Amino acid sequence: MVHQLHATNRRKVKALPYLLVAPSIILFVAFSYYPFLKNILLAFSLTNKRGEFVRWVGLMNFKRLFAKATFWLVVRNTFTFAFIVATATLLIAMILSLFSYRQKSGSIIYQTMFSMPMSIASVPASAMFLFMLKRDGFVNRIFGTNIAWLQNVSTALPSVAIATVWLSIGSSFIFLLVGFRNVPQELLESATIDGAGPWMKAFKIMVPLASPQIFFVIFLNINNSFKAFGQIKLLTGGGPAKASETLVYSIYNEALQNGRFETACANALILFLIIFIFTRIQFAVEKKVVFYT
Amino acid sequence: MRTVYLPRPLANTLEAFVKICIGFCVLFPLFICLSYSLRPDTELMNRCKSLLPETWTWQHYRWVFKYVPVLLYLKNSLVCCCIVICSQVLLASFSAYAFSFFDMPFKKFLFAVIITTMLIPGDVTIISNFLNIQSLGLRNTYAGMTLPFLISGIAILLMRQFYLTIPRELKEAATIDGCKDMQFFWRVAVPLSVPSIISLAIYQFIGIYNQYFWPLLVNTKDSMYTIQIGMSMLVGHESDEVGRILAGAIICIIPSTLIFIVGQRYLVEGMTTGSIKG
Repeated sequence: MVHQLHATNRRKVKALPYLLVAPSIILFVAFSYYPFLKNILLAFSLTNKRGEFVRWVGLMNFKRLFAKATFWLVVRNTFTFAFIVATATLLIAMILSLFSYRQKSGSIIYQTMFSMPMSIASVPASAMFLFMLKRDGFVNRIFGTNIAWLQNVSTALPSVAIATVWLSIGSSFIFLLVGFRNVPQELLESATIDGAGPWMKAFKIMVPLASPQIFFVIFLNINNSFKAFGQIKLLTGGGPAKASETLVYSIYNEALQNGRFETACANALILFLIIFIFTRIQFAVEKKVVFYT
Repeated sequence: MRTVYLPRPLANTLEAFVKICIGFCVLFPLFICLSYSLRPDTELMNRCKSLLPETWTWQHYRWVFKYVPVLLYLKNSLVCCCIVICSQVLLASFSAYAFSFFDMPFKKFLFAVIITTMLIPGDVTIISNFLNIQSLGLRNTYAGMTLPFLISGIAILLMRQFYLTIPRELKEAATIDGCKDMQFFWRVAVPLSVPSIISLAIYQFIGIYNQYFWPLLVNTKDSMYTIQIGMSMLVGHESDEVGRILAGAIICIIPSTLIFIVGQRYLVEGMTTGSIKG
């Protein structure tokens, strides 16, 4: 009897689910956890030109980094960039989705047009914006100005941000559209009967009820701006004088251009901490402020 | 303020027209790019402002196809996309199936291991991943280009989200009828989840096809360039080759945009079920 019970008990724990999960876990360990730990290790050590560990140096990499004025410039750029991208994208995507939340025949056409930038990569987008923003480019031709948007210290970062905003509009639009379409129709109808105009309805009903999606989009864009790389590399190369360099670009620059892998890893760790803090804030905000229907 | 009431159909058409105009504004950079890529050099040089070309020409496209191995680059991109999509669909389905239909010790822990990876952004680990791939001697190989992307937390979440909608009683009933676990997976779970699989595939296609940072690190050989890297080389050569750069950009955009237009419905579904529980 006891033996039998034991046997059935053992049969319940199958090997199959573990075998099914195993490949994913192995890949995660090999290409996410292990590199992450290695990144932490290298951030506290000295590496050679091939990025191999030489010896432990403690906080020295960070001390050297924090002592450099350019590092703080890069951090500031990263946040300025995130701010411009998040606010401008939210604004534009909000207008577009409030315009088109009502489902009608043919709405798929402009929906596709509004969201299409999300299928476009940073390389072709950079080519377009390069053509528009360079000295003899489209913008200067149209407005008759003569500004080197991408070579000017004060306009380089905003110019790259504009390209990033354009790339981010599509997905933000989709998320907001879903949020606005989830607003109960009866609520809007009764508001109309009570004499609420379109503006009133938009800002007193739609926006509060879609706040989960709105917060989600804000944090999505902040996160994506932290990872923007292609447009920075191709439009300005981080220049002029690091005016448009963000942390991700520093990682690339230190590792591939300067061969300073430990500095790159220290930068990556700082980027991780920033993203991590923003993720914590996002979770906290989602729990507290969000208005669930 | 007096409100003017238009007859319904007219109002609808007008509204749609206005929205399509706004759509053109959103896509304005794209149209400019397309329009200027179809102009001869003379027109590009003399700083014309017209929106449409006066003379239409394919010369820049012909140049790009002649001097840039576009088809080879496209092939490299597509091979990478295929490897990643196949692997993610298969492995994510496996994991999601295990997590939604089995009760096993350490289930919570294993699930946490997977979810936690979503807190480690790929751009943070990109350098150490690159160093690992380099020390394995996998630079300039398809393996090196795809290994870090063979599975993702979001893919497992997406598939699990769907599998949770399949009632567990269905599996229990099938088991009583003598259906083995893997039989149920291949015969019932996978066929039912085809829409989710398509969502995942399209999402990954656009993601991998549009990748730039990783292939830039891993590839040094011209013959292994993806289309993005290949086209970015055109951008690097500044100055008066505007037409060619723009033609390259358009060529580069076409595949991902086509997939986007065709699979838009699935993509939107996948994006919004995976990420928001609002």
